[in-house]
Amino acid sequence: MFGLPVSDPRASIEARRRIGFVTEDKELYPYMTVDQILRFTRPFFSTWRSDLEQRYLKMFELPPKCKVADLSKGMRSKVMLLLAISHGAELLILDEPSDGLDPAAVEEVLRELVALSASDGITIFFSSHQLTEGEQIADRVAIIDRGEAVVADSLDDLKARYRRLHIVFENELRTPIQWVDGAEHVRYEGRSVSILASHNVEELVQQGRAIPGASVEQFPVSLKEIFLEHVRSN
Amino acid sequence: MLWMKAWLETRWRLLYTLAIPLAALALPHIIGGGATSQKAADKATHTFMGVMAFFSLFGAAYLAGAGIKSQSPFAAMKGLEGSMYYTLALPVSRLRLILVRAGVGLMEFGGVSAVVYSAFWLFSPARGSSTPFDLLKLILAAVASMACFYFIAVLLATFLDDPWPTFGGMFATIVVWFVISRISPPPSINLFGFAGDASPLITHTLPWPAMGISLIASAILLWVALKIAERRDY
Repeated sequence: MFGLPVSDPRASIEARRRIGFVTEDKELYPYMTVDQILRFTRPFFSTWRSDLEQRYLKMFELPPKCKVADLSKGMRSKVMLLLAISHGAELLILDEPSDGLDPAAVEEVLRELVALSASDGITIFFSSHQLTEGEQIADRVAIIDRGEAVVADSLDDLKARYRRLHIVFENELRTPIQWVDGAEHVRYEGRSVSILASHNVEELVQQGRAIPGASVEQFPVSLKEIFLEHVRSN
Repeated sequence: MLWMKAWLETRWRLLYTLAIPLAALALPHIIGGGATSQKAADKATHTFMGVMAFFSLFGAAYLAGAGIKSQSPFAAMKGLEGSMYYTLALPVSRLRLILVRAGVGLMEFGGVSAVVYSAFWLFSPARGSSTPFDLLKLILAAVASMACFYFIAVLLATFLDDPWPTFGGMFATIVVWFVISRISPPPSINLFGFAGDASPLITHTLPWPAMGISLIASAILLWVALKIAERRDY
């Protein structure tokens, strides 16, 4: 990471200095107040950004005197984000950062992350089960199913490449069609077939149109559709 | 700031560890307030020392909790234990994490011993002909002789969650106590000798052999704890 061998204890410390981390469970020291945890964390990072600390403290409406144990999960998410962002990290690793936040707060957080990435050049590794969030802010996405990356590409490329084809035939098919390469998932439903195409879309359209009496329509697909198709097929 | 964290995590333990033996001192037959003869005073001294040895053992196990896994007993009771990941994400070596936490606990253990033995020495007529210098020797002997029990809990806390290091430490302590009581070693090498016939209040000297055995065992236990913490994948 950053060209440093993380298995080396010293290099690992340097890497951690440059990484902001939001854990999935959002657990912080429950006996500390928000103010105490800020005072505790600040000295570990020479790159601490007091301007960001003040800005997000105000924006997230975090009560400085409130103990972490008394905060809701959403508020703890905000405290973790505040800590991760304020230390001037070059890489933010955010595991479900919007967990527990209301929809308005999610929008606010996502907007801020995009702005931060654009203004400070921070790389954000964002892990979420909410695919719409990833779709909203990601440049590159990876879909992991049972520990294996089934999709990994830039979001724009994915959206440009993937298409949903809906082909309706005149009569019910007697034998399944051997579709050209690119048909990732094919689902037959009576006189119609739904194809998720990952590439060769035009060839697939031509193949569909070549069937007498068939009508072909193509639609853009969302990240959620790509995810669902991959997971269902596995 | 790790010192602040360790203090916040152990302050309640310190209070309990201090309050119980101090409350025990209020009992007349423990402090020896009613002793009218030297024999009665000596008996009171032995009773008090026995009580103190007992509390030192359990206090040591209770104050330890120097591991990476354990945080605060109250946090554990509320199921808030995940703050370990926040600690591990800080740019600090595991060696420093453990040494600071173990150091704070050991200082607290020394502080408790100093307060309780001093209170006994000040208020009990059973102190006999001992001097303040003998009291200092007693405190040193008590902390050094009991240190190995403290570091058993330190070791356990590198891989067990709260409150198991305390219980494990207490269990190990009982086993060692039982073994020592069965083999009855000479007072000079008996880890509990400082609370009996080898007490500096009686002998006016430090029980160096017992202190040495305990400190060597402590160093080994700490070394093992550091190695475990360094290699363990939390």
